[in-house]
Amino acid sequence: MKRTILRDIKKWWIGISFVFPACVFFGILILFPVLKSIYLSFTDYTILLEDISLIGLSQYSDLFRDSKFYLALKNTLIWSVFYTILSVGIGLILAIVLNTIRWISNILRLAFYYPMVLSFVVIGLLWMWMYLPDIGIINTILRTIGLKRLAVPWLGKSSTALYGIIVAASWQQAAYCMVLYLAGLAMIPVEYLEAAQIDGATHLQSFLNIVLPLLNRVTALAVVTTVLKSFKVFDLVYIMTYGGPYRASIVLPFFMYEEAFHNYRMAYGTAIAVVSLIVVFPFIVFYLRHLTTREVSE
Amino acid sequence: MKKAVRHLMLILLGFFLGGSLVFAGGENEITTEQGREQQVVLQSIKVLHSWASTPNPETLEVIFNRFEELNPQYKIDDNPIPFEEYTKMIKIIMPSKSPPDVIVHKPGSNTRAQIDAGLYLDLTDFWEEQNFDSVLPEYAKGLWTRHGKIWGVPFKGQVLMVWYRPSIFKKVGLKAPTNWDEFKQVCAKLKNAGYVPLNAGDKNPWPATYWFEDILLMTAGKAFWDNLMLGRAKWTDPRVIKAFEILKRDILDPGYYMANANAYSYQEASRNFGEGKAAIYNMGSWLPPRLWAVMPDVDMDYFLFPTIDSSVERTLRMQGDGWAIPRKAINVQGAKDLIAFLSTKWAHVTFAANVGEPVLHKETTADLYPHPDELGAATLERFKYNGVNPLDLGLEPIVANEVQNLTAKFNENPDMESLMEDLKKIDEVANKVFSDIEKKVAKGFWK
Amino acid sequence: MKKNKIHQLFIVVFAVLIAAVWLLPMVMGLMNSVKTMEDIYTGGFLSFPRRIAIENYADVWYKSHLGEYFKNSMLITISAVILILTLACPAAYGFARNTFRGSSFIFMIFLSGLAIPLTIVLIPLYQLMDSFGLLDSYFGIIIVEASYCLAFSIFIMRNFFRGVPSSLADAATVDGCSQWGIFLRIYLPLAKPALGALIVLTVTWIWNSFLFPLILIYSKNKKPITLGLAQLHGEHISFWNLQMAGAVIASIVPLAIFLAFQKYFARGLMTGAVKG
Repeated sequence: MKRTILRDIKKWWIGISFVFPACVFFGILILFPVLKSIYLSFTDYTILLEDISLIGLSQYSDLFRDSKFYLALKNTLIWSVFYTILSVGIGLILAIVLNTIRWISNILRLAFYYPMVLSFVVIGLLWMWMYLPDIGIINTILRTIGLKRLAVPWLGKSSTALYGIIVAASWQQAAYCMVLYLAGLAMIPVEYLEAAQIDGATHLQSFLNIVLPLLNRVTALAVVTTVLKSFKVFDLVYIMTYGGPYRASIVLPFFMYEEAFHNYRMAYGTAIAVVSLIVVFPFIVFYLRHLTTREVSE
Repeated sequence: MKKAVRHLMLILLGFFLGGSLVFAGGENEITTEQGREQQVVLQSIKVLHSWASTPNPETLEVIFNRFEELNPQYKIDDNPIPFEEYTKMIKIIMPSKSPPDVIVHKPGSNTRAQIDAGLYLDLTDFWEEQNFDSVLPEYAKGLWTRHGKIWGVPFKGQVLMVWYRPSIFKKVGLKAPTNWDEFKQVCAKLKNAGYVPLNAGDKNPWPATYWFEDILLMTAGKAFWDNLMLGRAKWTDPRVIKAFEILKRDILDPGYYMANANAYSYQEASRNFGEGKAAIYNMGSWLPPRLWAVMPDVDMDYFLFPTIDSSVERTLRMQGDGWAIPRKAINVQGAKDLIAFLSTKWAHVTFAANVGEPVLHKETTADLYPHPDELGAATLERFKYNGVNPLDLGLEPIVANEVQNLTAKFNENPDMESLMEDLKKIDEVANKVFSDIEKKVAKGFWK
Repeated sequence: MKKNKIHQLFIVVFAVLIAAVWLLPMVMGLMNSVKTMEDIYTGGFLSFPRRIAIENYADVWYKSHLGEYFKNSMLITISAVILILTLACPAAYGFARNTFRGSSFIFMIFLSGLAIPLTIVLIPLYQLMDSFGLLDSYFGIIIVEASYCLAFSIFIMRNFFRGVPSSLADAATVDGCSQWGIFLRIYLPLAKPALGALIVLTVTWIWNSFLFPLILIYSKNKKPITLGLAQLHGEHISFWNLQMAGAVIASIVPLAIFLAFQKYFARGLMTGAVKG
């Protein structure tokens, strides 16, 4: 009796030993901080003073009365929408283009894809220089083709700053969507399209009625992952505008960073983070569901 | 067999972890015990500073090397960080349990919260021992004093002046204005001649309030300014509103202010000034050395801010950047020795002569500086008038940020009504901020 | 038929145009990194350099210490990737083969780590590192970076391991092989393509990581290059040519890895995961 119990324990321990170290790291450096953040959001923790006391929902009530929060939230939501539309849309177009012209697609793919391996700092700097009002490429081109009125200080005007950053971010994310779509397109059997052509459908019709619906899963994945990513943007805003001009481009992660590490309101920062998490939660659930159902279908 | 492989993996993991631990603490791990007489053992002094963004940043290295020569038991671990990044990083670093031994800071609102939280080492006794009163000016000491104690040793003190291009003025036939009417005429003539009268680069956005600040000081005076900075006066006070009105009426509406100022940082905007596109630049004395480093032939001179109300005593905006020691610093004695050395005349003179930024040692003269008649003379003005911190240093960061953003917006679009609303909001914010400060001070962590 | 050819031609032209636009930022960066500032002022960003000012790179590497930051990045990235592999591969195996009861539950917890926004962990992480004296240390930043790639790494490897037919493992068990033996002798050797994807992706992410070093590192001798580049920007804010040289230096490693191992990137991304 004892021997089998011992053997079972040994077997169990060996089984656990595979995941144990990873669990330790994950638990200490990821899970624990998430829980601690939630806890801290109910305190008055500012990193400067060593005493913390629980103060209930005060941070949250402050948060909901803070106009900056609504601004950050609005900007983040705008970001989600435009970033997703641009990235997914451009990604789809790029994928279709590459799919149609197979012979040089390898080289072209490099050109479209390389932004994904650049750090946000580099992307931010490159686009910042492109957006410079007097000497930047974008305005120079606009002026040469006669659209002088459009040559505004893109990052200097509060109405355009956020969108300017979003374009730069989409430039990068489109590549990711493109890869997803390429994989999706590759899985569409050619016979479907051929059958449609025989039936007299135009390219556009066969695209809209056959290809696009078959890409639905890919589109869902692309949209969800892009939306999730849009809630994480920080580096780009930090580098390109630092939240300016006059706060026009703050997003939730940046707002949190500023409040926590510059205004020393750490507990307030955690409240912001918790609220951000809640806002993005449905997407997380959708995403995880997608990942796990894929396994079931495999 | 399998056991051996598993053990091997564990050993590899161990090696990796152990190896990275070796890289972990860095040089602070070097022993800091003082009793040992060994020459091999070096005490490390970790210095974090933002003064590598100066022209000739090697100057500080030269000064540090000299210190190491004179004190061979010390080794300086120098970590320069560019200025704008430094102000952000120092906020994160100061509260940690392992801060550097020596830091620099601009005293004022930046240090206030940290001092109140007890993050700085009390240097009052150190100041007495070293007799710094004899070599460092009173106003600078005042900037570093809070709750009756001294928390840092000032080293350099930028002064904020109105810089201008004499060659442009000569071309247009102008003289440096001394009062507000003359100033308005100068601007008008400059604009007619095709120049942008007032340069600006407000991206950051602390430069956005510069004109407003001087106008307020020259119309409302130092006492009101001090009260405003300390939360004892309101932002909706008629004197504040009047300052904004003057700004709007005499500078913004006539179009004298640089367009698109919010898209450029002050450094990027300096080009306009250096290249002669704009003629006047209200900026700190850090500007000329940096501009001269890039464009050595540019002529630059200063005039004191034009008098608006002759009954108001002139107050200059000045700074007193200095060295300080975090309370949790490891090598306190080393830090003190280093700061004592940095406060010697030699260190000040070397810095001034090579970097060209105004240092605070009382025995430094104008001829030390490159362009002694312009920059040198400007630095001496500090000893003639009253001094206050500029707004971005004197006002609590949260409130200062609001004011800067508001003014940046106002500069672009001077609408008095939305200004009034914004000012009311600022009053609310300020109220809360300052009452929070009172509560924190009461907790007495700084003692 | 003809219509098709014209059609194709249009698309090719269109594609090349877009590719040109896409490449523009990088080309601009490269070209301007070897110009002097006068060149930029007189000719704008699109002009050719009058002479190749290669000293910009030397300037940025030595005087602005970017060379040191490059070395720091290498150290951090390589160590973190080794750590990730050491942790994630066995864990993925454990989850894939369900080596213990409850493994699927724990795997779900790991999955949630895939989508966690960094902001929610930043403050407690700072506190944690500080209380162990790991602020501004290699060890600290390495374990943090590694942990944040864990969820994705485990996910990728597990996906791969699930694709390995269990007959192989069964045969080995019959021969008396233990779980670890199966893992080390069968699964791991087979995993090379997936490992390749994992390595290129994690190297890129960790090399480009910015937010963690921003909060956790400040010393010169530990600063990674992304942080160094951001500070270079602040330091030489109007010297665009120097900053661009810095940007090129910071991008060399990820770009080189990308060019050399393209297919691994695509494979890794197609599992459809997003990094936290």
